[in-house]
Amino acid sequence: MTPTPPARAGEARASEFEREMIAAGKDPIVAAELERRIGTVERDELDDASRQPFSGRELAAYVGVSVAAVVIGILVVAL
Amino acid sequence: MSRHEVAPTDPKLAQEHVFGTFPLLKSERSWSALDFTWVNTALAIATWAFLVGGSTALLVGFEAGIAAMLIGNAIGLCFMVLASVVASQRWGSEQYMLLRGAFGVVGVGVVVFTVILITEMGWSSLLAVMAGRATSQVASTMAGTDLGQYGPVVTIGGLVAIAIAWWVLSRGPVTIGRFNAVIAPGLAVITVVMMVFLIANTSWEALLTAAPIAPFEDETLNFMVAVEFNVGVGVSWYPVMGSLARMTRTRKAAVWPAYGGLLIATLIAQVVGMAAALTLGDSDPTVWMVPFGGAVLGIAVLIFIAFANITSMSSIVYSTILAIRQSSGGLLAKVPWKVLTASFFVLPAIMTFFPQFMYEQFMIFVSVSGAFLTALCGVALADYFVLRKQRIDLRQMHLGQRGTLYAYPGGVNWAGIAALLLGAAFYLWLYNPITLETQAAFSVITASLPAAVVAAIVYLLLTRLLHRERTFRKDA
Repeated sequence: MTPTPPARAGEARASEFEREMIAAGKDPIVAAELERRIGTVERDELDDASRQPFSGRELAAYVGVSVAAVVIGILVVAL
Repeated sequence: MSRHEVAPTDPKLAQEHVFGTFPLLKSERSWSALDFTWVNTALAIATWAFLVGGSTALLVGFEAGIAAMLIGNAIGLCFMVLASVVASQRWGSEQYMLLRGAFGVVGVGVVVFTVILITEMGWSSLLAVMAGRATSQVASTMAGTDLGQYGPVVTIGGLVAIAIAWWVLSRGPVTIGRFNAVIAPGLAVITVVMMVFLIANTSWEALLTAAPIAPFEDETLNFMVAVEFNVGVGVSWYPVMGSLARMTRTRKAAVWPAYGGLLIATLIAQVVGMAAALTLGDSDPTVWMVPFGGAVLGIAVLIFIAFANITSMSSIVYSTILAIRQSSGGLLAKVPWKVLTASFFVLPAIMTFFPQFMYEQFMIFVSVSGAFLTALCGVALADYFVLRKQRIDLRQMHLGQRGTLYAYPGGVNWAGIAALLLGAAFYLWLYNPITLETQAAFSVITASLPAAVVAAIVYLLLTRLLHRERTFRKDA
């Protein structure tokens, strides 16, 4: 059996998603817009910097700043 | 893809767009780091910050108060921002949609209609009472008589403030934004003016040597309760931050302005409130602004403060109503926006008849709501960072109970609900803000941080126990 090309598989899932949303009570035009947007996020914006996960380095820097703020607070009281 | 999304012309699409259901696309996310910093500054320098500073002064002096406010807000904001801003920025969706994995579709509704709704109604009531007190003070000055800090004019002023807030809210987010654009810089200027008046009418020495207003005997306990109170203030931003962060362009534009903007602006306003409370015995500028600033300037400032409270109320209620509408499972989707917003204000309107109660129970309110919000943050962090490894399937999330990844029996993920309740219970066991009973550990580890950790661990353990066969990520 020939495997379904990725693009066509995506379309099939898209229409399935819209059908499910309409069955759940969403207006067809709203379901179609939702699908369009999710498709854009997953395809066109997939590699965009704004869609990347929070990295370990960013997390460490963020928590580090918070810990530094707490340490400054403790020093204000201690000294 | 078009460079900029065109505003939808179809009324149904326009409505969904306004009510925040759609994930935002790159072209729609227009806020830079500076824009978001201003938004957060506008939220933080609201008049409630004066009251927080004044309440901190009940327990500790000026230097210890600054330390407690810095430590408390740094801790509270740290996990609040991680729990709400990070995911909302990446996926362009507001935080309640993203909580579906942790609580289930119905479970999110339960959380929103209890924890979030009660918290935001409490803050709205307080803002209405503060606007009423400003009105009463202005009326007293103009009439040349004392109408009282908790008299009927306060209630009338509070009710009028609620009516105006409802009117602003009913006009939609554009009107709210326009008002905030004027109010935010105005409040920043007024905060500086008030600090100048305070220093001019007292002295640095008096400020630094002033004793706390109503402390307990144990100094360590005083400090830790003050820290814990400020942690509660930090996490109290959770209900609104995700909805705002989805508007930002990048992670850096979301995370650092949310954390730094709220931390710095909150601290500045809180320091003014604390300084006033320590030197004058009252943190509320509605009490001391007219005697210090004179009738004309005092009245002008008080009118501005009353108005600022109204716009703050509109901002937080807008996010809450969006959450309520989306979490109602379609039940409230057909209720007109004006009716929905009016319904929200019923309880705050009733509370304006008890202004003294609202002021006196302020610390308890912040701490108890903080108990639940910290636990909620713990669950959200465990779900997004540990369980789902920051991966969300937007189709499945919108399908909810019709999909597989975020569907649970009855729409409730009991692992999330149980973890939330156990986390909050652990907080209240460590520190009960109503009876003021504490465990020995509270003086070392406070209550919020351990409550969030307990909620996160319980959530992960129960998930392993209850959903052993389950898939949590689409590529898992």
